[in-house]
Amino acid sequence: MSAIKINRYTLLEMLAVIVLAGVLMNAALLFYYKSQNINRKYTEKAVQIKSVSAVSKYLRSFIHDNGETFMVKPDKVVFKNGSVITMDGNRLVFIAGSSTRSFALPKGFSTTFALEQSPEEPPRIVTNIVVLDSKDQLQLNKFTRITACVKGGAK
Amino acid sequence: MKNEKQVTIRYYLMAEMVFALGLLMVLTACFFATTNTIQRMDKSFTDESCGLMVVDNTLERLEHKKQYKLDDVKRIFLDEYDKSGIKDRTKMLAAFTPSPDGATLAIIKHNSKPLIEVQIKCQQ
Repeated sequence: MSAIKINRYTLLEMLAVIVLAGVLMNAALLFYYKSQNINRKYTEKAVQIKSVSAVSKYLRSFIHDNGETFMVKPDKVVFKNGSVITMDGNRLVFIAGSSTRSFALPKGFSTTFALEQSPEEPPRIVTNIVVLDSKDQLQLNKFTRITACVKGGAK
Repeated sequence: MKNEKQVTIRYYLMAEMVFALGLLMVLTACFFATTNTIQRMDKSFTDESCGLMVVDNTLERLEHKKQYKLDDVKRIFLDEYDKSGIKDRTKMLAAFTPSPDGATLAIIKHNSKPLIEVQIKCQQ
């Protein structure tokens, strides 16, 4: 006689296992999704910090080298010698004579320019590297401010 | 011959489930605690970057003045602090301390420790 042992699992046990498997899979997917999000966010953050560092050095030396400004608009700076700093998409473009140099800003970032002047100080160009929201609108409370004084008007 | 039926009743089933769910909850709590810590570190790091930019921008403005006095240093430092936006976004404070031969500019973190301190020599 062959002895076959049958372990009869109850319906309750089966349901419990299904529920538990569902909960575990849900948790695993949630962890995966959140980890991916965090990973992406910090990659962008690293790129942003690198970009700000690189842009601020180049921006300051460019503004110092080109002297007085002719026009400062939120998306463009034109110097009296014809050099230009402008935003083209998400690229910050520096044009001086025939040479053009551009810095790609991280996705979700833009730049605005403004001219500021205080008494007994040379005028300065303020560049704000601003975070864009999901509708590509500027989030004016999230920005990094870079100040560069215009040479030629030192007081 | 009658079929043999062996029915095993396992009393530890509920304990197993409770243990598994407990373990899952601990794992979830650890995961979210880690996420939360990373987010706090990120905010702190972003705030610190902005704090450093305040001092950097102040030095840029001072560098382009032919001469500056204590009042100028204070005005420029506090102006940069106000315009940087960190006043509204963070708990970091700007501290200006005059000294006999100049002044000390500092950005103080929320735990009252200085993030950066710069000593500047200037006329009184």
